[in-house]
Parts: sequence; structure tokens; C-alpha cells
Amino acid sequence: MVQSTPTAPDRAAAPARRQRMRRAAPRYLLVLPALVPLTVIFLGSLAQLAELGLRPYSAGRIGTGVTLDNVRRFADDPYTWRVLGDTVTLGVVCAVLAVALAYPMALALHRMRSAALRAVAVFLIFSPLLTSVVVRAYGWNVLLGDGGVVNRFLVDIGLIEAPLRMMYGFPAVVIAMVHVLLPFAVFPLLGVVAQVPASAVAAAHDLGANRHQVFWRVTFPLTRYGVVLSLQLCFALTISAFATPALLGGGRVQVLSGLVYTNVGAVDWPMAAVQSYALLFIALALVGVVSLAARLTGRRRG
Amino acid sequence: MNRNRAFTLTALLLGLAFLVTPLVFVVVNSFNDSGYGAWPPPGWSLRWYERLAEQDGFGRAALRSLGIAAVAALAAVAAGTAAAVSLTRFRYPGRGLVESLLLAPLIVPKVAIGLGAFILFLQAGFYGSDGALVGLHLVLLLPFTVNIVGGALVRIPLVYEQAARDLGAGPVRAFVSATLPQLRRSLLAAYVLCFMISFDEVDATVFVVSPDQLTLPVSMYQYLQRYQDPTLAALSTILIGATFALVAVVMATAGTSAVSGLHSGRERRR
Repeated sequence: MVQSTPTAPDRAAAPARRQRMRRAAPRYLLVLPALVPLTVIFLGSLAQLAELGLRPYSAGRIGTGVTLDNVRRFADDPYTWRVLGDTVTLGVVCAVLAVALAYPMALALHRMRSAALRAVAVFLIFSPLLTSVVVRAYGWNVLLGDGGVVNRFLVDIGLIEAPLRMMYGFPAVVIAMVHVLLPFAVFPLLGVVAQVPASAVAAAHDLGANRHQVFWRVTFPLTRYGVVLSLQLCFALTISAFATPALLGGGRVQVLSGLVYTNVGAVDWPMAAVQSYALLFIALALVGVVSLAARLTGRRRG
Repeated sequence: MNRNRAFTLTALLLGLAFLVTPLVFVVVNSFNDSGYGAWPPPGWSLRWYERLAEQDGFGRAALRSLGIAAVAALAAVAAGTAAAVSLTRFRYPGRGLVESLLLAPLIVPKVAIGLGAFILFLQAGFYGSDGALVGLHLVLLLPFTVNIVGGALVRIPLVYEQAARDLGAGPVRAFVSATLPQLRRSLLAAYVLCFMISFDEVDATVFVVSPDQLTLPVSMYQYLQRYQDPTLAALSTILIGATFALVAVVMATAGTSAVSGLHSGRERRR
């Protein structure tokens, strides 16, 4: 979504291109039904949010005018920075775990011969989307609680003596987040995995590469773009997720989106706006860094 | 090669088990007599379903969510398809920018979109209307429809449409009669996915709903924050049953490819 590959203009086709351009007006019309709501609602929302973040705020009242006070308040608060650090850590951990699990799943789906089995597997992968994240949080509550199914099982088979403390902390949030992310992580990978030419893999084998070499030097580099896309999507979804950390973190895991929600309730809307923008900048910075890195390594490998 | 296959297959099975387990336990626990999900269940009962029937908020919220999801998904598929046609068939100045903008709501944190939309709707006087929620969901859904339909469009050969043009059909008629029928499954897949995403949306919606306008997931979220009893499990079981039935109907009418059609959504970008 960030790497658009511009096609080099073909000189011979230039006159034809110019002719096509003249008839291009209706083509813009086709984009309008999508572009208008995006501009009005999406860009409009972000503009409103920016304006709100620059309003002065004191003693529960939002004033008029433009000030950087809220940004200063944000930057001076060590608690906010700690939450921001936790948010990024959570995003990285969950994205890496989800993609690491999704990748072999996508490969297995691709290698499946039976179309019917494949359809069933694809359906099961997307089946969590049929239930709300709230429901799934409840499900993890039942599974991961101190007297929950997992702990009872582990105690019964004698692996542990006392129940593991998983609920209301980082482990429960990570497990539930990876569960939320997995379908979204598999989604971009299915396409790229299918495009690795079987001949390249076969050639590598013929040249004497073992299976690890084949994977790391042929299959993986060819699917790098999907991996990057998948990581980006998972990271963005995690840092903006709100319900799952709130329900399973039990107040012990604070993420930035939770602070935003609290501040909206506490009428400190300008602070909520600044914190939202902090999240937005983290997401954009990651996209920038990742696509730059992808472009650089892509160029080196030719 | 065999060891590779064994490894990936194991990962797939573990992943599927991981994905399905919490759903299974939600269903099982809805019949658990214990109020705090004691395990193993001390007995079985239907009392959480009775308790659910006494709650009047969920029914109204469910109807609202259904309506919003139906309309938002329809708008997203229609607008997203038009945009996908424009992006895949034509090259023009600003095309890259338009494409990035269409996909941007995937990257921008939902909290930022939700809070911004709340302020925007408040200022414009739309706060509390169902139209506002449809608009918000439409924006969140567009990247998915553009991707799925765009991915399908590049795989459909242009020759049929060109033949229709040669036979004298206008560009619209050629598209509708030659290409649209081939898009049927992708459109259905996009609609189902959008419907499900909209029906479950919490992270952005929670900022925009007014207290007398709760959607189903938001009212469930608020319920789960106050009570932990299996009433929600009963509600979820009904929802899971209903959605599985819906998917079964879709698969029966459109074939399994409606669901597996999801996986080529990204093919064109590489």
C-alpha cells in the first residue's frame, strides 16, 4: 500500500496515452463515491482532531485560540511516555508473534491439494471475525482465569502446582490480541505465498540447497513484501486496539488508546486529541521506516 | 519437502485450534450453571438464556447494528467497486495519491478516526444519528472492498468487455454485462467481510455512539465491564449460530469460492 511501482513511460505509446488522457474525465467520476466520504469524514475527522489538540485547556474548560500547551503537557508527563512505550512494545510483540504463526499457516494452505479442505481451513481462519472482540475477550476470560480451563488442565496433568497468573496482565492481552490479529496477518500472506514460482524452489533444490537454505534464500525473500504488509497491518491494529487491552488488561496494562478513552470521559478532549495524534505518528513513522527499509533492501538485491 | 509439509501443517492445525478454542468455550460456557464460569461446570442450565431474554437493550442494539452493517457494507461495496475499476483500468495523474488515501484508514489508528469523527459529527449536528455511524463505518470498510474487488478485477481478462464494445455496447453496458457477472463472487465475499467488520466494530464506534444509540458490540462491551456472568456467552452463542447459518447459506448459494475468494485480495500488488 506504500510501494507503488510507477511504470516507465513508453515513448512509442506517448501519443496514445495523451489521447486516453483527454477522455479521462469520467474516470475521476468513478473514484468520487469513495473519495468524497473519505475526504469529508476521514480527512475531516483528522482535521477536527488536529484543531482540537491545539485548543487551550484549563480547569475542565476548552478555550478558543491556538496553543501548543497540550503538546507540552503530553511531553512533560512521564506516565504518558511509559504508556506510549508499553503500547509500542505490545504492538511489536503481537505483530511479530501473529505473523510468525500466520506465515507457516499460509504456506500450509498454499500446499494443500484438496480444494474442499482448503475452503474449510480458510473458513476456520476467518471464523473469529464472525464474533465480536468483546465475545472473544469473554472467551479468554473463561480459558485463562486462575480457575479457568487452561490452569485446571495444567494442574491436573501435574505440569504446574499453582495456577499461572495470566488474566489481567500482559500475557492475556498478548494472547487475545494475537487471536484478533491472526486472520488479518494471514490475509496479505496468502496472495504472495501463492506467487512464489515452484520452478525457483525446484531449481534451488537441484542446486543442492537444503530446505532451510531454500526457505531463507528463495521463498522468504520472494514473499518479503507480504510479510512487511502483514506486520504493518498487525502493528497498526494493535496500537489502536482498545477493547481487548481494556477488558483483559484489567487496568494493569495501559495503552495509549485507553488513555484517549479515559480523557474523553474526563472532558480533557484536547489531551485525547494530542494522544490520538501521537498514535497516528507512531503508525506513520513505522510505515515510513518499513517501506524505506524494504525499498533499500529490494534495490540491493536487484 | 516432507518435513516442510509436516511443519507447516502442524502450524496450521495449531493455529486453527488456537483460533477456534475461545469460540468453543464461549458456546460451552453459555450452558454452564455456574455464574463465574467455574470449570468443570457444576451443572448445565439454560438460565443465562432466560436472563438474556430479560435484557431489553440487546435486542434494540442488535437491530441497529444489523441495519448499520447492511447499509454501510452495501455503500462500501458500491463505492469501493467503482474506485477499484478506476484504479485498475486507468492510469491518470493523482492515481497513486487516490490509492494511498483509499487505503489510509487501515493504517490510521481507529481511536484517532473515532475521536475525530465524534468531534466532526458533533460540530456538524449529526451526532447521535444512524447516518453518522454508517458514514464512519463506510470509511473504515472502503480499504477492504477496494483491495478485494481490485484484486479480482486484475485477474478478469478484458477481452469479453472489448468484445462487447466491438458489438456496439457502451462502456457501462459492456462492463455490466461482461465483467460484473465474473465479479459476483468477489462482490459477495467483500460484502460479507464488510458486514462482519461493521457488525463487530468497537474501537472507533465507541467514541461516536450516543448513550441512547448503542450498537450491539458497544453495549456488550459495556455489559462485560460491569458483569462477568455468562449472559454474554448466551448472546454470543446465538450470534455465532446465526452467522454460521448465514455463511452456510452463502456457501450453498455461491459455492465455497465465495469464502476462498478472500485470499486473492492482495494478489495484484507485488
